[in-house]
Amino acid sequence: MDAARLKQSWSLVAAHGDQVPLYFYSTLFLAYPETRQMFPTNMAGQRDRLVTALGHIVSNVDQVDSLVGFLQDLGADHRKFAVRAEHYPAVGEALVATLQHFLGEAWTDELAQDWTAAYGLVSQVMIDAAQAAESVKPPWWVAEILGHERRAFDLAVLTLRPQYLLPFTPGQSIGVSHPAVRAWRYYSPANAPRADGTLELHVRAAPGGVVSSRLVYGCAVGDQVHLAAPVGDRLTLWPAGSADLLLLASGTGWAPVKSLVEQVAAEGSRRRVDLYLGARSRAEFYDNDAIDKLAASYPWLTVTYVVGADFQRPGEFTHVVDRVLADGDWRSRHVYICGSDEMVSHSVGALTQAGYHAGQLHHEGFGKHWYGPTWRTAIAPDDSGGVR
Amino acid sequence: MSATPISRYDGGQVSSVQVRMTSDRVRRWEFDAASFARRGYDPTDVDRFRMQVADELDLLAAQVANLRAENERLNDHLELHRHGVLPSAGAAKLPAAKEVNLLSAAQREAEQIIAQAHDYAQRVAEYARMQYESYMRAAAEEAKQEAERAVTEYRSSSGANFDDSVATREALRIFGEMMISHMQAAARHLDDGSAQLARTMERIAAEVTAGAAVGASGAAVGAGGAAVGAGGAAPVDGGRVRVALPPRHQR
Repeated sequence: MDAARLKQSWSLVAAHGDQVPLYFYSTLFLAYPETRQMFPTNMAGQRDRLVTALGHIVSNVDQVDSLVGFLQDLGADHRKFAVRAEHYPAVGEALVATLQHFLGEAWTDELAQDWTAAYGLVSQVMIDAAQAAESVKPPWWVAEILGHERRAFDLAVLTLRPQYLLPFTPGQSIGVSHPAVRAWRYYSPANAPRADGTLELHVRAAPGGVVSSRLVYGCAVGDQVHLAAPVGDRLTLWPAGSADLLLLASGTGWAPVKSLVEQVAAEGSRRRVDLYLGARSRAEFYDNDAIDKLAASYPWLTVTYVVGADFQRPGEFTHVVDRVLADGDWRSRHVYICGSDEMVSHSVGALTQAGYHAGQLHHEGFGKHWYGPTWRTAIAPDDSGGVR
Repeated sequence: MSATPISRYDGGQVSSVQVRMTSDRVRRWEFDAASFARRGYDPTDVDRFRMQVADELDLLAAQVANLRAENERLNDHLELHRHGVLPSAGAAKLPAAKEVNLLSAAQREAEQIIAQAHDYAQRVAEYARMQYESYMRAAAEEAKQEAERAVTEYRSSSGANFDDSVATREALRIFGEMMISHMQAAARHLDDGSAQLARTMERIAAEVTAGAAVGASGAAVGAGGAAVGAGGAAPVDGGRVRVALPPRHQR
């Protein structure tokens, strides 16, 4: 396989932008119509992800070792879409047909061989990884909704019980899908792992969001949802060692932070934890009872509510981070930040300017791309069994 | 919440039995009654039921379409056999570029409609939020003024008999009453808004089914569901002050 030739042909094709994955999927669905229902109606995001993943694979095709981890994660993760080994050749055919279409005259038999060989290698790693994962965890977990509380008109707190144990580390996110909607979204459990395996999710219905709207408005106790394996390690506690913590959360960003608080409680460690919780207005704090109970039970936890907009001071907006910086110097602590992209980037910017260094600030990446090359789970000395 | 520990996955086959809406479930389905002052069934219950029924209809329609296609394929095979031609071993024929482009165009159009619905839902949600906040601000301001005025009046009329706790109680009562009456007015506005939303939803849904969109109706239902949620009435907390309310928006 000529890696240079492969890379060069890919850069020619990639220049056509979104046309390429569009052509690829249309080819696949026409040749194998049964695959259409494995994908959601809106394919725009899916096309981006495919191109990013393919681009990453191609640019590393001559250092296969660096790709293996990524491909194994990818292959195991594809089980949640009900992908089986026999689907891979169809995808390979559609891929080759697409490349041929866009390369036109530049398409040669040697290129065809290169690409077929490369795809064969990639798909084999993915298939093997899926096979290996089969005995470790199910392709997805079916979970029953035990509790569904509407805390605000667009926000619900769900309690789920999966059919099997879904192991996760506080701070991670799990995939959630409603059987009628073929899309997956990621939510962080708001609790530390429990003996009965139940999970608490905080879901805000995004306007026009298919999964979130369904979960908030279209689900009730007794309904079933599907869950997928946990991902993400940017918000887990292990990089913080045994340091004291400063937690910044706004809106439903409170969910993973709540699980961190519960983890600290379960560890029985002597950390001091200061929590700053923000919301647009006083009415938007949706978990007050639980928070007040936590503050009352744990003397090492201090909670400060930060109201963004107050009716008494119209036009002014208080950011959580402004209050944090005004209250003192936390630079000896590890800082965890979770909220909207705007809130997180504003907070990180303000803290960095105030002299906090990147190693002590923990937050998730912006505009999550779950198939991006940097998406790997923690390789922590953690034997909670099955945490990828 | 039960305290029984959960079992680990044991590598067995995952039974993915989807809970389907069957005629039996439809007959046995019990709707909660609407709130005390409203007649009929609880609207949230009804909406959820409609979503499940719509899912089932979509599933059945897809199955029927697949069966029809399979039927056609088998008939074609039969025809070829009758004429003595042996059909090829069934390797999937790759589609020509023209067909591919037709499907791609339909996919794009479906996504445009989805994006349009998404954008509209976001604007509505933002507008509703702004309206709510400005109403609350105005209501709080007016209620405060009314309460202060009442206390001043009471002070001047009671002279030496001025009692602090009475004044506070009066102030709270007036404040509460004013807030409630403002919120009722706001809720009436929101009702009108949600009626408008429903009309817009129907218009978008009609465009979707009329167009050549591929499976876009499912997405429009999802977007429409969210839009209805965004237009719902803001919760009214009348708990503090006992005042006789016209029963319109009690939760």
